[in-house]
Amino acid sequence: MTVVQIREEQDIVRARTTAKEAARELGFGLVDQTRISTAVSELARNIFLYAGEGEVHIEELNNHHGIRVSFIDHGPGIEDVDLAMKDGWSSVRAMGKGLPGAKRLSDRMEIHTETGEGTTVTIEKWLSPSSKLRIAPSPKPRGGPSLT
Amino acid sequence: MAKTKGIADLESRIERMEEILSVAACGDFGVQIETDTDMEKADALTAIETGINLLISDMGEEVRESTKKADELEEKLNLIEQQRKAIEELSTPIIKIWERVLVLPLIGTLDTRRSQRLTEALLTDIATTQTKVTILDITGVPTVDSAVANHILKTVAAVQLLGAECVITGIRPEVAQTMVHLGVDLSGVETLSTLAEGLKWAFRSLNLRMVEEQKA
Amino acid sequence: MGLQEPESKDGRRAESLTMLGISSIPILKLRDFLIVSIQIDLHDRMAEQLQQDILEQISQTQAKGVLIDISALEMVDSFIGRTLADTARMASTLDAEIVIVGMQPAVAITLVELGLSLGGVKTALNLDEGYELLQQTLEEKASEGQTSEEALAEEADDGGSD
Ligand SMILES: Nc1ncnc2c1ncn2[C@@H]1O[C@H](COP(=O)(O)OP(=O)(O)OP(=O)(O)O)[C@@H](O)[C@H]1O
Ligand SMILES: [Mg+2]
Repeated sequence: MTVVQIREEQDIVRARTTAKEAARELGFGLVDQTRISTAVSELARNIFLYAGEGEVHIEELNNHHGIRVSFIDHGPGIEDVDLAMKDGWSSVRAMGKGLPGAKRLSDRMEIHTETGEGTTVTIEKWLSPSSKLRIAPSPKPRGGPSLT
Repeated sequence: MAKTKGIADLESRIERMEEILSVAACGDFGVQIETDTDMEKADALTAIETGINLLISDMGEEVRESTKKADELEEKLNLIEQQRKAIEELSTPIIKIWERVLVLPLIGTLDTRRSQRLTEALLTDIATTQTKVTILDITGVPTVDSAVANHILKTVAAVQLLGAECVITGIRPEVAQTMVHLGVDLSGVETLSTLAEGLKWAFRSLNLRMVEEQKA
Repeated sequence: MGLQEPESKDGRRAESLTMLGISSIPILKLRDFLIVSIQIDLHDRMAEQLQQDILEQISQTQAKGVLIDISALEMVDSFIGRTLADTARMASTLDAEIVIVGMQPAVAITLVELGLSLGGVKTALNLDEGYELLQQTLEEKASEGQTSEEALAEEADDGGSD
């Protein structure tokens, strides 16, 4: 897992380039790499703007299935997640594209937030549907031998 | 049987059994307990040893079998994926119909994934050939619901961002009706009824003029 | 290079630039047009700075059009996208047209999925076409201006004959 600290504005660029590089190494195509780096840019900027500081965790999903990026902060939290997820809604009269856009650009997105405690947003991007179905052979024998 | 006989090397043999069982428990089924082939020397423990050996080789066989099945299944999944891609490619040819004019005849249903792949292929083509006009012909799309309309509009928007032009042709009357009923906003998009009209539009946009040759 | 240094009393600005560690993006002038090529991954403050530089150069040089080449940009998120669209709108209030040139396919696809259309900003496949588009737009503008002037003159004539 790679951790990128978000403290100043340039860290947003560091987070998105690190995520893009990780995605490339995992075998994502150029368009998916761009989707991932753009979503990371949006969510890392949200940390910088609304929480001041936080961390971006970039990790590989089990068995090369894809990438997971988590955005963790201990800022003010999001009061109304449904509202924040609405396309075009912004508390600061910005475009309100960050959260809904990041959701559209990824395969899964989850938000855990509590007012006054902080926010964790997690996104996942999967390599391909067939790789999700891949069956790992189990080398484990079922139960121990019984001698009756 | 060997009831009356004493058991030779009891401790070391039990130790060996434990050892072999733990090796097998770790997934290595290539191991066996060495037993005396001489039936005369068999004792009460030999039966257990043989039993353990049988069990281990059976389990090894079973695991090999299931691994093989999993491999076969994965191979089949890969094959299906390959075939799906082949079908997709067959069903969406991007045709260069004129210098700097591409035609993309859409045939069949458009889901998110297909339309994403299509857009990607189209935009890559446009960028590499610096194509000015793309004609998106939807005659072969059976139904246009709001999801399909959205996919088409997204493709058009992406083409326009590259700096190329895009015209939609082949909109059948019933498709036009449903689009209006669904409230699909086509205001930013050029739409024409036929592919031929689309081609004329492309020529105009490239400042090309078609003239009928005068017979002498 | 043809980097246009801001004039005289702006020494203060140049100083603050180095203090902020912002390396400004060169803005070239070609006849009536400005040409900007973004070759680096823009962070937010750089994008804002670029917007300011472009607008200042438009007003200083009276440029009628600006070509912004983004073919080296690997990503355009909502911030950069909005900054570009805003710059285009602001430029048009200074009577200059902006054309964005050479967007990568992956960037265009991602922008659309993000939900940004760049609000009707003019785009072109490459610099040549961008240049043509600018000229064409300016000619159209000029002829519109002419016809409206003619219309005004006619109106005035009508008024006179009354
Ligand atoms: N990490 C966060 N902590 C606290 N509030 C947040 C956080 N992320 C988002 N929000 C809230 O959710 C709202 C919507 O976020 P979103 O990123 O969708 O839009 P925006 O940041 O306002 O505009 P844009 O991203 O388009 O510039 C924000 O205005 C902000 O109030
Ligand atoms: Mg945001």
